[in-house]
Amino acid sequence: MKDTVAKYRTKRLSDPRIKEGGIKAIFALAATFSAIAAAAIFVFLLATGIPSIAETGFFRFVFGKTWNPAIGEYGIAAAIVGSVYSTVGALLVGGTLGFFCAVYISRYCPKKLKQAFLQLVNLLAGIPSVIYGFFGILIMQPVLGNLSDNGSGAGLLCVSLILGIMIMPTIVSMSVSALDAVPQSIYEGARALGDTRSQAVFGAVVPAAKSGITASFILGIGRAAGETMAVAMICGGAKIIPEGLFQSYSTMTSLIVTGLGELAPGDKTYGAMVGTACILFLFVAIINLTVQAFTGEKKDKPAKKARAEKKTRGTKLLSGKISALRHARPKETVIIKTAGCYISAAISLFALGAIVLFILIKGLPHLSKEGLFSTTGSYSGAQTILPSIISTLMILFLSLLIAVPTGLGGAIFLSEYAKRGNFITKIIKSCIEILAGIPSIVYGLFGNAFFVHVCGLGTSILSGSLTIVLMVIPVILRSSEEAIKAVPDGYMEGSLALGAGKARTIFRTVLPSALPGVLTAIILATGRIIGESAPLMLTSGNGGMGALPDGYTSKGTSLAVLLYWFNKEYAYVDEAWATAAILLMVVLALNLISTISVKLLQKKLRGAV
Amino acid sequence: MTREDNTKNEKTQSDKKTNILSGLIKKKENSADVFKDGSVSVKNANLWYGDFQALKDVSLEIPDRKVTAFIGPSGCGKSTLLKCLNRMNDLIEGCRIEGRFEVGGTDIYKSADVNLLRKNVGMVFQKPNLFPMSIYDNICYGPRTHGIRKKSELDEIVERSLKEAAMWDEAKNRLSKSALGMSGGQQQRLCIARALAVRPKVLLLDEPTSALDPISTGKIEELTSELKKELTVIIVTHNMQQATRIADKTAFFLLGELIEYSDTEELFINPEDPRTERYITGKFG
Ligand SMILES: Nc1ncnc2c1ncn2[C@@H]1O[C@H](COP(=O)(O)OP(=O)(O)O)[C@@H](O)[C@H]1O
Ligand SMILES: [Mg+2]
Repeated sequence: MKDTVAKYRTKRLSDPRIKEGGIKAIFALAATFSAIAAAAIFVFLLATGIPSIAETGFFRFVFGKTWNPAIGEYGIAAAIVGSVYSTVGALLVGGTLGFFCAVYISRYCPKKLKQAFLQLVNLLAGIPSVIYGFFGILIMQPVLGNLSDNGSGAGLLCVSLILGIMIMPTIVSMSVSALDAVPQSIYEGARALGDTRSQAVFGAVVPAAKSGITASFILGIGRAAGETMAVAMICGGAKIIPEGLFQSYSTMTSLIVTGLGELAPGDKTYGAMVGTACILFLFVAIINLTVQAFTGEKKDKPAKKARAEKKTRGTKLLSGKISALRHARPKETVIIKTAGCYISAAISLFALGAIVLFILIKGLPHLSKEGLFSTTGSYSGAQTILPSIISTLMILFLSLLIAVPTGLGGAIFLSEYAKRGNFITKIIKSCIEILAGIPSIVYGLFGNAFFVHVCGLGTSILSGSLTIVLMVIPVILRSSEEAIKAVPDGYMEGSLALGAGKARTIFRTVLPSALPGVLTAIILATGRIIGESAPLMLTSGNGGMGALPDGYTSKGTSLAVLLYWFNKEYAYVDEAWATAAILLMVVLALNLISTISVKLLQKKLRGAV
Repeated sequence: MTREDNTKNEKTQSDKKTNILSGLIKKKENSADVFKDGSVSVKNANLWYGDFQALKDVSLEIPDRKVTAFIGPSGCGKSTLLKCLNRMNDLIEGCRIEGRFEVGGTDIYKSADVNLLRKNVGMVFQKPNLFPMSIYDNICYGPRTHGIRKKSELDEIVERSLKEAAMWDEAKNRLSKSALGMSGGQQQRLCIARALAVRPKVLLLDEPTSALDPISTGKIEELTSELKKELTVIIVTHNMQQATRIADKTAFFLLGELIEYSDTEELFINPEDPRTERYITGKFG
């Protein structure tokens, strides 16, 4: 009797169609949620931004040079020009450095060091934006001040240098992939025609990787345009169009993050901020769609790519092109370019070393047990850091708790269930692509309007966490998707051929194999959450904390925001250094952990254990 | 009048009974006696990948507990037909299938649950595709999928399957080690063991030896002759000697068509179709 009951139950539970359907529905929901989030941000921006732009009048808003909320004058021309200047400056610095550095890593670096070098460059990408800003103010500006006639190092030059270093890793990693993907036969063909190594690299390999390198530049532009905190800290903040390299100015992002303060939706200035975000968003969205057009084409149409490759392989065409190029290239320029590779590689390592060493050397001495762990929020006139550590951990916990399952579920849906050509799938993918490219300040503004005000959660750790959820879902989703796609098809086929259902196949074979990639994604997201500042500043709290937070509904200033605040309130320089050191160490440690754990897991998967 | 009514009543009642019965039988599909043996029958099979027709009106009857070989130049549809038999083609977008496919008398596209079908029709692929787990877990993957949890039972299955796949001596001391540490030939035999662990009635082998050295190839060939005592083996091979060595029946395909199908000896010594002759004497492919 008992037996039959048990049997009946297992049968019902394991009815394959219900179970499979249910699991698929859950994954689909996760993917849809990501798309809806993108759509919601989009709708919010347009619905709030356009009326307020219209109120000022489009032309007066975009081309007006005066931004003065006190007299109701909202012209963002100066900020737009500031953003454009910063982006161009960053591209000049980061593009040049990144390009040559990528060529070095792909073609000149000893094979053994290649991975290590790439990882070092990627460390630069993991350093929080506030630390760059802090480094810019306290180390770079005094140095640059010596060059300027007004004695101040703040301004376009400093922003370009810092932003350039910040976007360099993006450009390097994407360009290296493009360069590595060039068939060896192209390089060998050039060498066979008598080119030197450098002539072959710059004459044949680089041109063949042109589209990938261009895409990396465009992506870098997107990053630079959306960067907020570092820029806000070093640009100076004057609402004017800069006329030199050392003049205080503003960008669209700095305008929003420094001006929003306690404003609420409904306020005219708040509306103008959203209008500014609207323009920024459109700018960045267009850039990201361009990148997608560049790279997506190759991903989705392997046949087309194969055909194109065949064409480039046609030896006749190739040799003609190469010899033509060789005659057009005097030896000297090639030598200069090669030297550029080595110099750029050295500069990127130097930048990393300088930032890490300066921050640690100046920060570590200020770490004290009292300063760190006193729970009262302050001691003998100084601020303690513990309340912010707790707030950051709370944000980290809640946002990962929501974002990891959602992002992973969405990734599983898109890679294992969604039909390729399906219209809805395409829309979801585009939405996620857009969501991934949205500057963090726009998330902050959305979180402020929606979670803080519309949902009535107020400025709280909860609002901050939810905002962060939206921000990291695409990060986790996209890298998990890559990891899942990299799992050999054979595993799936093997499992299905044994009569396992799709869900079991995914959970028991596909996911375990994708684990290293998924883990990297989660650690990456962790680093981003810990270092994130702009969105949290607008949603979770932006001042020194007098006490530990007593729950998700209380205000909480994250570590990165605290660093910004310490720096702004000149009284807390020591605390600022200490906070910067902690932030940096955490980020570096996370990088180390991810590298090691992924290596171990991969070893295990390969069967060495 | 009343009598008639009565008979009508009886009739509807008996109808109801058979309905209930057939319902029960349908539910009983899980108990694995849907496929009564390992014979395979394909009737008028046509298959398209998008616009491309990969199988053209293929019909053949494959006997239970024999080794049948599919030969033909690459791209002629051997793997495609093989994958129809355990419905792996379901996974391919834009794949359209017509015709009737039966295993042990059951229409596999109509009445059988696809997972149950794949449990009964095992498959081993060209490249070994063991999971990144221990040897033990690899072998147990199938049995666990089908609900076996007891350790003693699983141990028994592992030993039996490895012995059947002639891998027991090589694997018994490293069951808990990763399966991916084994050599290519060993991995392929482990794949066979993994497939045997769910007690299939048919085993599909898609060029199982094409990536292996001659010694490993020999072992797998010996194995197939052992296996046919228990189940039906269908093997795709591009090696004609292999077909003559191990197959009872051989089917020759060309451009999606079944050109000739007969006893192996007959086909190789006395081919009916000139195209078969040209192929086996090495004129094309
Ligand atoms: N997934 C697929 N999509 C489109 N065409 C396919 C696919 N798989 C196989 N084909 C085509 O079908 C034909 C038969 O393939 P296949 O059965 O793999 O041949 P064989 O195993 O005999 O070498 C080939 O022309 C092949 O290009
Ligand atoms: Mg094949």
